[in-house]
Amino acid sequence: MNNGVQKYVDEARKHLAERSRYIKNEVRKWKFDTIAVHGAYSVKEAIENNQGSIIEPIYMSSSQAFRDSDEMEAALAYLIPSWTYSRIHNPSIGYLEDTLALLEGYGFDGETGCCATSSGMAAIASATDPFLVKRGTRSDEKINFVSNAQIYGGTFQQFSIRKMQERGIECRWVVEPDNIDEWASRIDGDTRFLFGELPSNPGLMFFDLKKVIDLAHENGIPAIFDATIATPALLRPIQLGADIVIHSVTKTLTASGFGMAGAVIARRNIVSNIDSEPMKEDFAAYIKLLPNRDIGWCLSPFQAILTLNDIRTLRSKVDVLSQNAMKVARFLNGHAKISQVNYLGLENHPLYEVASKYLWLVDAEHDEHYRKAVNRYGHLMSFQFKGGVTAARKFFDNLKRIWRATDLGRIKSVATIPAISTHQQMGEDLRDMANIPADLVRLCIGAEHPDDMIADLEQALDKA
Amino acid sequence: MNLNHIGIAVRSIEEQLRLWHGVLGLRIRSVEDLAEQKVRLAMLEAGAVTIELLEPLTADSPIAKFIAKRGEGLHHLSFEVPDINQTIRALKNRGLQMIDDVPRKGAHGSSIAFVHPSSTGGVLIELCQEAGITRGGTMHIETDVVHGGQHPDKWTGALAPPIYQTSTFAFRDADHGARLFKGEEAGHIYTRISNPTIELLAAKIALLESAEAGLIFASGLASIFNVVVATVRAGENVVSDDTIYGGTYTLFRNVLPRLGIEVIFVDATDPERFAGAINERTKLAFIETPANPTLKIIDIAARAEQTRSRGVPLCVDNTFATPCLQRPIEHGADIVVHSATKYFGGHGDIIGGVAVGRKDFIQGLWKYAKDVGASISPFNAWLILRGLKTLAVRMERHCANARKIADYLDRHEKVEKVYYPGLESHPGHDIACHQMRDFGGMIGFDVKGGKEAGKLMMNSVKLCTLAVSLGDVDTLIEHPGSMTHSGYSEKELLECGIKPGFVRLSAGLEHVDDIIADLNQALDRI
Repeated sequence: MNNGVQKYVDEARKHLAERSRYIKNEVRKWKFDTIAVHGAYSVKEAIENNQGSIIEPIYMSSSQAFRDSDEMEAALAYLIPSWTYSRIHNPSIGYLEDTLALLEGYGFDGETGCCATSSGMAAIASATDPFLVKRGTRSDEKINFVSNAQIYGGTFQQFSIRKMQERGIECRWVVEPDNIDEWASRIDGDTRFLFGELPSNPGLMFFDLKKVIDLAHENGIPAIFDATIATPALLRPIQLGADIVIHSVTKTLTASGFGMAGAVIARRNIVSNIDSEPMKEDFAAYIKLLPNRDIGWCLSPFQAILTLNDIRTLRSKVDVLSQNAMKVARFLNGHAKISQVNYLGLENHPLYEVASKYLWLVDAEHDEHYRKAVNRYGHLMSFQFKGGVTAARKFFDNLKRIWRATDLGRIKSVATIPAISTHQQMGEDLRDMANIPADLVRLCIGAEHPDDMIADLEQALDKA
Repeated sequence: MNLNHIGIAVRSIEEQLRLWHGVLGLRIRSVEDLAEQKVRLAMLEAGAVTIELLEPLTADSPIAKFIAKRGEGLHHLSFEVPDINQTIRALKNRGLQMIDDVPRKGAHGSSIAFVHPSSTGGVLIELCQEAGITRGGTMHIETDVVHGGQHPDKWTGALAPPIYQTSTFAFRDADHGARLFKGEEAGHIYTRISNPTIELLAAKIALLESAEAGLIFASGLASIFNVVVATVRAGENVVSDDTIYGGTYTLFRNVLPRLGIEVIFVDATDPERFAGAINERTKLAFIETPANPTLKIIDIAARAEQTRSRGVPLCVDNTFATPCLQRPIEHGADIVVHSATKYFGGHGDIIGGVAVGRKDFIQGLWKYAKDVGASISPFNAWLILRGLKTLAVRMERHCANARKIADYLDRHEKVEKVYYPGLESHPGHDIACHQMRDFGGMIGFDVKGGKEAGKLMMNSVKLCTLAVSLGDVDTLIEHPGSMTHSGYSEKELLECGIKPGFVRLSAGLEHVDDIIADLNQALDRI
């Protein structure tokens, strides 16, 4: 390394040391809300590098200019924190990644890292594909992974078609994920990871994730969770020992509905039977700087700042949305035309107990409204009709204020029929396995006054 | 030449920062080692000028020798030059002795060269050309629209400027805030007052318009309103050409009188009547050329001479031409305003306005404007910056398409008259040839059969869009009498030469044959 490059490396070390001191000594001592508002963007950084701008600037630039060839060499060899080109990294994307890593790592002793992606689906692919590689030179090497069957239709598609059908990687489904023996029975020496989505979309499946994490680690493989529906305001799997958490950031994290984003958040030193130390040591940085650089499912810097602005109010928003959803779920639960309501907060739900063990509103004990730990169950629910699919569609078509759309996680209430939309591509047999009947309506309640949403549901139910 | 920085030789930067930063409160922009020059540099911001502290890295460093001989203290003055090689040549030609005949590497990738103090009365002078510095309007406008005023972000190196979508800026401490409010230090407080993204746009447009400085507003009308009220007080008046954008006309006609400002309308193509309209209470003259919607051409240089002799500033609305075709300040105008919504943005997605002029005028305008509050969103400013990059190529196509459309309409039997400065029949053609590089993308025409025929034609277009605004990539067509210029009475319209069947067309960037085919089928309906 020549002197010029060394100079940049030395400068970067100083900068990084200062930054990690700031995060360790200041940021990580804050409550969840404070981290959500500020992330790692310090007053010092604003004043010294960003003209004092209290809001993180939108670096809508494809490339970074370098002072000289030494800086360029240091940057491209990943010797200094730089960004080079927005497919690889970008300062604005970095602000979002810092905040997500800190929130998902809230209450966890170790360090977490985050890699933002263009969508939740890209996050799932980038979090799982690095494990689905050959370990040796055997041409007949078998690769498999284990997942609960009740997952988002898009994920199901990615697992069953893209990975299983096209690449010969076996996805082993767990149909009753709250039965740890079923998970254990699926694992063998060729299993690369355990994957779980919880609460699941649209069936609101839940399971004892601590048991699944322990099982994964006993087998030397990582536990990966899609915690999109819960958000870090209700569930932070890494704190419980999980290795990697995935989000469709498009959903409740960007409740305004301003676009698409995904994120992979990983702890340092994940468990894996793949022989790659850099990957295991800092998985988020690894996928960001290597596979994702080469594949290119990068996030727009503009989107990163829009999302960041949404996240600042995450905890209180999730609290309100959950309370609204609870009120609506109670209404539906007692309605004569509804046969079943899937909402984890209802005491009669079979998974109420296990969900209540894990879904807590973060920092409720520091919230003067509560001053104690409080369960919250998110804003997603689904329900079925006594009158079957005809009644479900009639009800759906008569909704007036609640949007008919394949969307969830919004500040606006949205309903869909998964069998003909989000989970249509699975086909009927697989929908049966994943428990998605044709008359299931998925409803995600927004921040409107719940009485108005109940009134809309009521008038539509009257016509069903 | 602008003073860029003052160099001070010090034994220890760390020690001296306690004074310059700690006690005097100057902001540290950077500390960097220049191994080649054996020196460590600390840059501190002192308003527009930088203080550069130089610490020797080795005992044989020139700075170490300087300190050994003369002690710590003032080392050099550095002047910013746009082209360092040219300046070195020029100084040598004037007999000055250079220490560096060939520039060497300075801080932040800049190029520097020292003039020997024996030539400059004992003061060591440094010439400095910053890396990627603004072109200073010395390049062709096609280059300036791309690069002018812009350079990579200092901290992150981002090539495209960041969007500072923030309302507020943090202060280092209370004194810093106080200094910013007093204007003693450059910096940002609040986006209504200033914002880095918006400031960048202002500087770029000033450069394109050959002006010293600029200010950006929420809309074109906001820029005109602010220029007028910052210049003219109650009891005073504006002399304006009678053919201007209908929104400006309504502002002049209905709003300004309520503030006690009178507007005297006159046909500014007539030198005598124009001169006659100016009286001792006239504080501003306003023209638009080419004028909206009749494409009337006014001789800027001739009017500027008249207004200058009466001590009245001349403001030109240059929206139709853009600096690619015409730079009014080069013809003697004092102030130029724009609706940036039009060709500058170019894509029909933003509203914005601009005023440019001399530094002292813009400073005064800023003091007024910040209290009025017609500030633009940083995101809109950024979109305009983005639009400007292709302004020159877009204008070429707008002009080429408009010329072909005008020729086509001019030959069409159902068209009575075409108003396009590029046609020899246009009364302002000669002036336009002299004053403009090309004739722009706007066309007016009268359809035979008056208003009803004009309406039928506009209702029959399929590709062209019936809409106000102009300068978009789409071809837009409208009826000024009932739309953009509905603030004019029927009599006033006729006085300005806007007949009832007058149609205005903004030539877009579609293939011209498709536009003409669409106009053809629409004219066939009449």
